[in-house]
Amino acid sequence: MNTDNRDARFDAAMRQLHESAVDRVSGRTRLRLQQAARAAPAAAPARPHRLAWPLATSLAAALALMVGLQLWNEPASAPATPAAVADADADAEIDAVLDENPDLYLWLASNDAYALAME
Amino acid sequence: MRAPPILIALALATLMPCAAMAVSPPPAEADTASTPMPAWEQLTQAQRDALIAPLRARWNDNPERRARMYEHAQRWQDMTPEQRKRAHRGMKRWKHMDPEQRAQARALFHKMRGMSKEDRNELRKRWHAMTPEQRHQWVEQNPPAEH
Repeated sequence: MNTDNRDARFDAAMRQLHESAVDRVSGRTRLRLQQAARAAPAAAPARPHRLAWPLATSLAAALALMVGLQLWNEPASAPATPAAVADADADAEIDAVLDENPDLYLWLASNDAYALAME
Repeated sequence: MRAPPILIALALATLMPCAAMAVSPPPAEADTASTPMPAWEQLTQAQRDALIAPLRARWNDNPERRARMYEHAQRWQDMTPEQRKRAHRGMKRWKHMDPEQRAQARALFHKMRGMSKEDRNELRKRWHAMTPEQRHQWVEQNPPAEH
């Protein structure tokens, strides 16, 4: 219901915006645009669509294959519990704070270290 | 053996987020998680113990690393707030590095620390020109003084 209202409001706002934009276009420009629109179908040659469907089908098949391979390669590991993840994070954080020289971190945030682009 | 005060202070300054994770409340208390916690001085002894428990365990379990931990804790304390902020940025970068990259960072840091600007530039150019294998060899040939 709310979504419908939102859509209707958005639609009305867009229409209003379009109308005010059209009003600002001069009569001469509008005439030229109309002439150009009428001339366009005659001028533009019909594009060959012979390859479009085979290409789209091949792309879809390739995408499906990629997704399938990804699922196939993913190990079916048991999900870690939130507590275990939190413990591991806390351990890693303590290690990071106490095991390494804090000046190493200072250096890592320096231009010198970023220029080395180790990652 | 209890952790020295400097480590507890360090824990307050740097480890609060992870300590809070480590003592994450049981489901029944989860609703109170959004309630702001009081300052350290207003915490009960049990809460303080819970917060520093991971640090205490690390201290007690690793007697051979205590001197280094203490030294690093002192260095954190000596830093200005601005330096600490930058160090945290570096720590974030560190967290996203794999073991090989960390070894490279350690070696480069220790090597560059005593160098002049010209020498550092020179090493940076050489580093960029190296293949991954050559970088690996360079790290092995230039082990950091501190492990």
